[in-house]
Amino acid sequence: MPKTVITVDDSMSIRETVKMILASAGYQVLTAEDGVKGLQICQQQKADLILSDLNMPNMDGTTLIAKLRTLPQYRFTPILMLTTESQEEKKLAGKKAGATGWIVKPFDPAKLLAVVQKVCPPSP
Amino acid sequence: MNFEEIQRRSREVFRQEATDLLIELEAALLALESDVANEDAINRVFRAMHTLKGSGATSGFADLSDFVHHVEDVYNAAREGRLRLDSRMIDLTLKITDAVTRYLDAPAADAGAVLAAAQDTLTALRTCLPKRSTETVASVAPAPGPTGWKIRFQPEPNFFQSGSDPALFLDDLRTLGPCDIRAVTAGLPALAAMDPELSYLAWEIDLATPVAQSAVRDVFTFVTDECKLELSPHAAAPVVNGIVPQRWLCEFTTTADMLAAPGLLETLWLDLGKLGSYQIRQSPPAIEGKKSPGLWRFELETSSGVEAIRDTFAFMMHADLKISPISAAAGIDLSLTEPAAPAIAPVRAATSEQRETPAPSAAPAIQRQQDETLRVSSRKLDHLVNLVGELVILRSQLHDACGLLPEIPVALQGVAEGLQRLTSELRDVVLDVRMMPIGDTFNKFQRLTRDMSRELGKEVDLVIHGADTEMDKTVLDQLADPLVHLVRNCLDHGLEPAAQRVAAGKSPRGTLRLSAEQKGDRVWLCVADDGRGLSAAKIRAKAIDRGLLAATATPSEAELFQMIFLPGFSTAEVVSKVSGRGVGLDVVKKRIEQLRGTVELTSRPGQGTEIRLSLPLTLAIIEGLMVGVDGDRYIMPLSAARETIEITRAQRTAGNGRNIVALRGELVPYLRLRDLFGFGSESPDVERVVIIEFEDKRVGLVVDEVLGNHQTVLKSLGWLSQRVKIFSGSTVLGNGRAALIFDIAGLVDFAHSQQGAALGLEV
Repeated sequence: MPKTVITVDDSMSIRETVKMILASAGYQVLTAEDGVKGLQICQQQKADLILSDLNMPNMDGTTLIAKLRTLPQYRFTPILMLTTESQEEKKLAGKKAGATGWIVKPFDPAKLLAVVQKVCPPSP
Repeated sequence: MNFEEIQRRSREVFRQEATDLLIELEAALLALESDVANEDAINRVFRAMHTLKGSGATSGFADLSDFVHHVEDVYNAAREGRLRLDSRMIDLTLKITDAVTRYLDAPAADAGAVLAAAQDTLTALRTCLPKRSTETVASVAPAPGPTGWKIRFQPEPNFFQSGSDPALFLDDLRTLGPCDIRAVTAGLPALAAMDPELSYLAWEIDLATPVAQSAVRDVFTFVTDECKLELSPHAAAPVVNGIVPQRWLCEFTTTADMLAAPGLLETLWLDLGKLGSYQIRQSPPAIEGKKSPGLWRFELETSSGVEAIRDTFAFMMHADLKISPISAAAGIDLSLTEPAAPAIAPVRAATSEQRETPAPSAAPAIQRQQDETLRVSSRKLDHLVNLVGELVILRSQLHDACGLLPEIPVALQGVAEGLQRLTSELRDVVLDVRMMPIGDTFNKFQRLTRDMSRELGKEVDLVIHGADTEMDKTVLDQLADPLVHLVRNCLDHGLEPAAQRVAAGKSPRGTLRLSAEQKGDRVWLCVADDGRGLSAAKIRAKAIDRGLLAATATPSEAELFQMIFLPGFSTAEVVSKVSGRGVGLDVVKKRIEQLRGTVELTSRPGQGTEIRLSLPLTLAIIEGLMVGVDGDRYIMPLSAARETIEITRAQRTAGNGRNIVALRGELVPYLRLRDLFGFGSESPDVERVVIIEFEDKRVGLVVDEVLGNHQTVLKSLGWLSQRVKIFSGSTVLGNGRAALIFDIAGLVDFAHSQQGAALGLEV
């Protein structure tokens, strides 16, 4: 069973790029374009890792993370913020909501993959 | 898929996304222009710029990302209430979005130049930003570099609940240098008292590394608040596994390819920073603020070996890396070697200016709901439509084949009927997929109206109705140009300057109305203004002047108005650079007719002009009337046919060579297709005249027989027949034979030019 990564971002190109990078390394990748849809997908299918943007319409990343942490199946799942936010406050708010860490956009494909493989090692 | 392929695909997706973002940006900016305090619009602009920046950089458009980054700053300031927008700033931003559009359209080699050309506009916008406090944190000279650190890392009990794993941090520490790690198990309770979800362990680590304290703390950035971290420098290098830090002089060369890869260099410095501390001794000069290829030279002190250094260059295959050891005697002062902050460091330390910025509250959810959509290339859709067309033809063939059987088995009957129903439904669904709301096309006129009304010094409100009316994408695409022309004409010629309007007792602001409405299988579009209206007298004078009308002729007002659609006619007294020199309305009319549409115009002096276009919902399917001439089948658009009457040979010959038939007291000219096509065979005694309505006039088409309604999938004739104007396409009939489809306008034109005069046809 490949590991499942759910990536939530309002930018289509980010979603697609992340999907291509991780899929090429054998992850199963699901995408959502805002927090509301992200939460829906996460409830339908258990993810092994969640990558979420912070600044999104309808439901922002911080709210999504907080909501996910209240779900029993996501209490210990790594959640990385994938964000251009350079402001420390935003990241700390995300951290406080329960994020595991963050990756700053723009990211290098190899770098992103390395981080993902670290926090969510692919199935052997 | 390798990273190169991913990068290429990522660029493609970004281009699509950017196109959407630019449309969104323009709409939001125009909304802002009418209300500079519109928070929703400010947020929309900010978000679009934010996405252009972030996604652009990730997809390999680093220069674009840098460019729009500054615009994002401006709108972020506006969002946070630090800056009041004004119309000039919005104007500048619109110009910048134009530059971005040009950038995306430009070939890769010219793209940089496009942004460079817009640099002044960007600078002008940036100067609007409020000055930040220039206070900076006094740079504290870093303490002399230690040779190692003694670390105690104790996760808080709830550490696991943020999805963290202590082992990851210990792994990260190992990248800084050789480590000796010991678990402290003193906190572990008795098994019975242990909560498996809590963390009880701590770790003590001896790390041999010359890196600064901050670099060690960076490893724990994600969990600063979730652990106790104690650091103390080792006086002497801890001997871990017997490896002592060593200094290296490294050289490598960057190529243009490497610079094109986003974040490659930044990643390199980041990775090198993890190996130890480095100091850049030489770097290629930056040209116009951009990195250029060339030689880099740096010194690195690390306890990792040469192999670890080489590993960091794994992504830079052609960097021509050279590494040589530096003897301790060379004496480089490492205390000055804080690594330069890499642009994409995973953690950016909060600077003083970021701290003084209040964190904006969670961005309000923007109302713009996006439907769940999937992008499909229109080429694939065309192919699908074609296939469905073939299926429809095949179904007709089955139908005809069944007709040949003496008796149709009941089972076959059921299958044929089922197939009939399914193909009809399939065809409708496929055609529906091609339907797009006209709103996107209409919205483009917001900008055009704004720019043109400024240029012309007029005040104009654009009012849009029926934006969600859907039309076939092909029709929409071909409609854009004619619409631009009509809108320009309204703005330029139709609407008066404010002073003239006030003098005429009207509001100084003119109104331009764009509307769309579906009626049956046609869409009616209307471009209307409340301007000065057409002047019949002026048109008449001009038409006579241009030799388009005899001085003695007495056409009706409506006929005079139609003359503005004639080639070479322009009513504007001054030829304006905006709407050109009268090469317009005739072209508009031609284009609309090519789309099987019609153009109507009504105008009232002093009250305005309205141009109404009627267009088919789709071009792929035609409701046709099948007729037969000399054994061949032809199809004419059913929408043009009004009625059919009979004509006997005796009636024809009684016309005395004038092809005219009486229809309820009205004389209608007719065209005999047999004559037109030069068919020599004997015509039937009684022929049929299909009365079609064309340009408000009735014309009869004489055929041998009328065979009834026929819904047809239109197939283009291909480039070989592109000069054939009398047929708009062809279709394949159930019996496998082809039938040509008349283009009514082309047919009448042709008749007129070839033999219309001889036939006495006046159209």
